[in-house]
Amino acid sequence: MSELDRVIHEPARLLIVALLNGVKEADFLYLLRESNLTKGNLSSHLAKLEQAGDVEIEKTYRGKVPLTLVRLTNVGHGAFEGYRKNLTGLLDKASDHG
Amino acid sequence: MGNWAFTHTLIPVPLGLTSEYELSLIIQSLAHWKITLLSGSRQASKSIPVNRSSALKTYPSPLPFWLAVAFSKVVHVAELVVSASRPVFALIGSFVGLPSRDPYFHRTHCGRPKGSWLGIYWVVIPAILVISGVAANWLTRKLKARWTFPRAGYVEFREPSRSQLILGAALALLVAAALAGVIALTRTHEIGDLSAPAIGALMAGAFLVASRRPGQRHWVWFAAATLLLGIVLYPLKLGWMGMQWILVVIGSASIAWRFRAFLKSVPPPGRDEP
Repeated sequence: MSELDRVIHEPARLLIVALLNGVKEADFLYLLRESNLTKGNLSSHLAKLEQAGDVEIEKTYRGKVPLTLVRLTNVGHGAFEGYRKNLTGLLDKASDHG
Repeated sequence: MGNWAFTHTLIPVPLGLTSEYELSLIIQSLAHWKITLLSGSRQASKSIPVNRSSALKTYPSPLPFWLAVAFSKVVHVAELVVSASRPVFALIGSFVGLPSRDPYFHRTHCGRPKGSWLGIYWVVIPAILVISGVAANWLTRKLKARWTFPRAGYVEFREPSRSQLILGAALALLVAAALAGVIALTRTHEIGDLSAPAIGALMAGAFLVASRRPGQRHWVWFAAATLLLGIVLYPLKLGWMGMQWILVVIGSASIAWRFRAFLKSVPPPGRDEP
């Protein structure tokens, strides 16, 4: 368990990272729709992921409308892949013991 | 007479030239579809970011958003545009086919539009094909930017790899070649005429499967309409064009229905961003 990345391990953040892992980039609205999180919740989780260097956030505009683009960094891709492997290994071990 | 008029008004298939014209139409349709997909797959989507931190002051940099490629999981817009462009091709084909109904046409040109103004067909159509493929993409982006982005959010999926693109193109060529082979070998209307009821039955089956999902009962009506259209088109002896018209009519209707449902179910949210 100690091998698991605690930043990604939180369910909401895991969902965000999993969504971003499958795409090149997405905006805030897309993540909001897909994750069913509240705006504040999603915003705070994105801030934590950005702090950890897992995602990069680009604030810009579409015309006069604010636009927040989010994408997974190389660090984030690596972290997600590592998390996936560790969790799979852990679950495999658990099933071997069971 | 009514049958003849319907067939020869809508379709550029003069008697005796069936294989050549139908073959070219089918290949054009497939090529158009492929061009539309390929030209949309490698477009730049945005400019270089001004800064990457939410904590810093952001300097607005209007994105060339009308160049954005992929939007959310709403895929119906592209299909709608491609589907809507098919009747345009049919109309172009009808105009091009008009002189071929001249009783002297077969004797003068032996079924090949060579050495006359009709030869323009082979120059103009490929150009229109390429231009319309790009135009369909442009229109798709415009529609998506106008209707789907504000509702479902923006997402750009990863670009397909080179091998995936090559595989797709090869598959399209294979299908075109297979169809061309079937048409060239049969050279009769009989198999082509069966394409309408056959594709009607296949599509009706697909609609019935879709109708089994919760809240999707309306696909039963689409299944009935498709089956009916296939049966109605059979006695008209439209050849392979019967299949094309089913795809155009039912395809456009079903895609438009899904798009309408999307617009109703996903209203545009407020403009506040975090």
